[in-house]
Amino acid sequence: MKDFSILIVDEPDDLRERYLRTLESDGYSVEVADDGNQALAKIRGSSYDLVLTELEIPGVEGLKLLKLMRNLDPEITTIIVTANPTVEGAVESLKGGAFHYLSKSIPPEKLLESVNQALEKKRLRQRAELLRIEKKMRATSDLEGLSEVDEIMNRQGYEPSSLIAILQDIQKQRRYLPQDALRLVSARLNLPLTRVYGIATFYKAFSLKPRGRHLVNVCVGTACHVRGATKILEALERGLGVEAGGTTLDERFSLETVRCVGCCGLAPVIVVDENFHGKLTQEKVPAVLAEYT
Amino acid sequence: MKYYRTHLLVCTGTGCVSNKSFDVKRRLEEEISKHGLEDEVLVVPTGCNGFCERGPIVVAQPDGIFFQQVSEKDVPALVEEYLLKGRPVEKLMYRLEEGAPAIPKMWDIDFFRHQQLIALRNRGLINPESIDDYIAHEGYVALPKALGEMTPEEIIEEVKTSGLRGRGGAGFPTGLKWEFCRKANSSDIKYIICNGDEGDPGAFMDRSILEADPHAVLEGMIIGAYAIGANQGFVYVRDEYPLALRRISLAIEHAEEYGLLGENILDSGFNFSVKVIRGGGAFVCGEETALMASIEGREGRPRPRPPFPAQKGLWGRPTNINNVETWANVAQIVIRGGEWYSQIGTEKSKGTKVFSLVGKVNNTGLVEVPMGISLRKIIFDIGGGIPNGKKFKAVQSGGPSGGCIPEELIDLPVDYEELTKAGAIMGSGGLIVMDEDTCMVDVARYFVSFLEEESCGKCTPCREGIKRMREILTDIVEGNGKEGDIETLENLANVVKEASLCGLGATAPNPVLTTIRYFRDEYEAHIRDKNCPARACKAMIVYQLIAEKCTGCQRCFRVCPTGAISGVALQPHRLDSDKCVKCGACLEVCQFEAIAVEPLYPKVSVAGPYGSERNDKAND
Repeated sequence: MKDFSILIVDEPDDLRERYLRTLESDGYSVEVADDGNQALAKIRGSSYDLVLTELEIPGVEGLKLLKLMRNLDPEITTIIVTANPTVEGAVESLKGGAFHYLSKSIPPEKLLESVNQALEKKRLRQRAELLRIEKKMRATSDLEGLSEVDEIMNRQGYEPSSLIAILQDIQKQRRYLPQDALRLVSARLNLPLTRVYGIATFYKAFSLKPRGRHLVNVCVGTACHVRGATKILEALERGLGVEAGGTTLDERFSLETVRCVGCCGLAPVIVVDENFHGKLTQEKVPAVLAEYT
Repeated sequence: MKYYRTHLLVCTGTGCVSNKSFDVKRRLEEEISKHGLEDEVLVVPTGCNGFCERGPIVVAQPDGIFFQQVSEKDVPALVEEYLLKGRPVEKLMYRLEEGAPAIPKMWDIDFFRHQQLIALRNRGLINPESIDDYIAHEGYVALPKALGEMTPEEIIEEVKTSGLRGRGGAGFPTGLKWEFCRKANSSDIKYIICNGDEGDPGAFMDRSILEADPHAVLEGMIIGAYAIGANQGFVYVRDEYPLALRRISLAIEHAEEYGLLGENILDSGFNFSVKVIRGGGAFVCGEETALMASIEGREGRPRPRPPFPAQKGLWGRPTNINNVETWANVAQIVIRGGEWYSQIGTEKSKGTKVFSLVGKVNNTGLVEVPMGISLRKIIFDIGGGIPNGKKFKAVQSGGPSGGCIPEELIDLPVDYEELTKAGAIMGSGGLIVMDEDTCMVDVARYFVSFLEEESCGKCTPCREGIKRMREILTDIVEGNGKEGDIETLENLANVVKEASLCGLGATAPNPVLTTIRYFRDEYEAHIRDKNCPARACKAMIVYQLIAEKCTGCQRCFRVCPTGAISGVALQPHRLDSDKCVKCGACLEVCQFEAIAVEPLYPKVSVAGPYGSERNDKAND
């Protein structure tokens, strides 16, 4: 099985079937979409390396589709296959960023050749990107980071669905998500960097900024709130001299809030690293912090 | 199997662990072997006992003696007095109040006496990390019955008869949900999911069940998967729940070893495996379509339904998703029959429900009670009322999507329909008790700002409407409220409710609407009189030191972060309100009631040394 996935956008007919079979028998994983809207929905939902599309399709017109697809995923490669080839069509398509412009009259083997060519180029580009990151990591003597990420990815698998778990593990070891690690994950999983960045910013557990040696999480769940969590948070902000979300200058503590740690019986609660401190009062805060150096 | 004279069950739920119950357990084992009792007494680490307020908890079986707040240094006396000499250790026993007689037996204590355990039946009773313990307590009895003696249709029929409804919040009939998914035959691949992304702040039943009895959840899932025709299951657990994650993962490992998961389970020809997924910390992922997106490794944004997950769920395949507590009920229903379960509860809400009873209540913890029980019974009989002689004001039910129920409705029987009628929802079962010191406008703002952060931003009514509501509420609590704000809030709330894409937005206005409905006077006091009746909103209060009551103990002087309190030892102190940041640290430590919180803008001028000064401020 080749590592690349292809989407064919065209109305269902025998030719589409033949393209599908040819590409699949060469080891690609191939999916189909009947019209432009369906294609966009699919691209939104998962990630494809290459899109084969007719220009005259229902829904969204081909050239517009080209543009919309690239907005969704800038790294997507497109090949236009059309029943009515024209010079203007070819010029517009290539201007719009298509890799090739082919007529439907060509034999399927020719099409395959063209697909292989496009994806080979893509593979080389990815390889170059990977090498560039590795080189940079070596230069900044971050060999440890490199093998850490590899180790994590070997454990979690190279599936796009493992992305969140991979980032969680990196976050756990590094206490944040270094930029290079994100690039490396993106290249190894063959996912656009935008997608990796999207995940890293959507979920609260991730931080793109380095964190301190100890993470102080103030539970601001409802039970803690009615038992004075806001006052505890303010006492910590005063004591540490940083606001929630910040890290002390000596990098000893990062202060954050969490929506509920499910320890409501002991409200108000803070969690430092993995230790819970319950029934807290402002008076007790300094003693708790002193436990962590 | 070895027989012991006594089992000491040490609670190792998260609450007790944070009170160092593992140290207690270790020390117990040391002391027991010191006295040569290791063949007679077994120390068992259990999941959450439920009575978190009194942790760490040790229960001695078979006597059923309840020891509370056991610290490491209590252990030698406990072992010597109770285990060696057979004497009660009254110091560690529960009392209704100081000076009242000790209540030695767990089931005589009010907190436990009114409960009825089905989903939590094994809590505090078995070692959650031992599959043999679960099996010894009627575990994996339902599974062979379901796989060997029942057809999938019969199981679904049984669950339908039971009347079990989704415990995650919306209360959709579980049997019906299973049937939809079973009948969706668009492909042969189907998935089931256990939703353990317990997002509601103030609710921790899912965490507790996963920590105390993970196999019960697993057994329910295997039966459900067989009934629906799924071969792959997922347990989605919040990353903030490390202990729950560990225990469910361990349970899966053990079940695989015993052949209860994997290929050809119990020679039935049925295959099923389960994978654990860690959540990423986003409240909206509790919503089923968002949760599925998250399992697929994408941003957890909800999508419109239909298509429902039963038709098109995970990776476009039919998917059935139920909450942890729902799954935990399944095995018992299979063993005892749907008829048995349906006899508990009310006409439309059957069975029991687990509530987390927290906030301003004496006995905080996890309780399981039959549906239809009154709020009064939960809060006053089980919960032991409000601490420090304060007055009950309201109880918040259903998390950020729920509502506040006032004192007038405290005799309300708790079930799905009655709570909805009162403007709240059952939700996942968080009951947060509020007393006279809780400001209802602040509570509304709290929930709305919570939801503002958690809104995924996809649809405009939710993203912008909630933001506007938060701005208005912030103005009100900061003393900048104006006439018409309440009406604007109501308007906005109704639009957000009608026009939002998913449940998060559609229910987001509930806390605002219910607090306006039942506590309009508090809103008006904030807006018109710049007065917070609960004396909680900083902009409307001032701290004062009552010289006549001050003994000069200097505790407030030491905790004051800004040096606003001055004075010498044993002499009455002074409080400089210009330096005071109203953090309340002094009030927290003062044992002589010498710190008072007064309204900044009193309606009627108060006579006294500070009266004129405060009126000056009001004129600023």
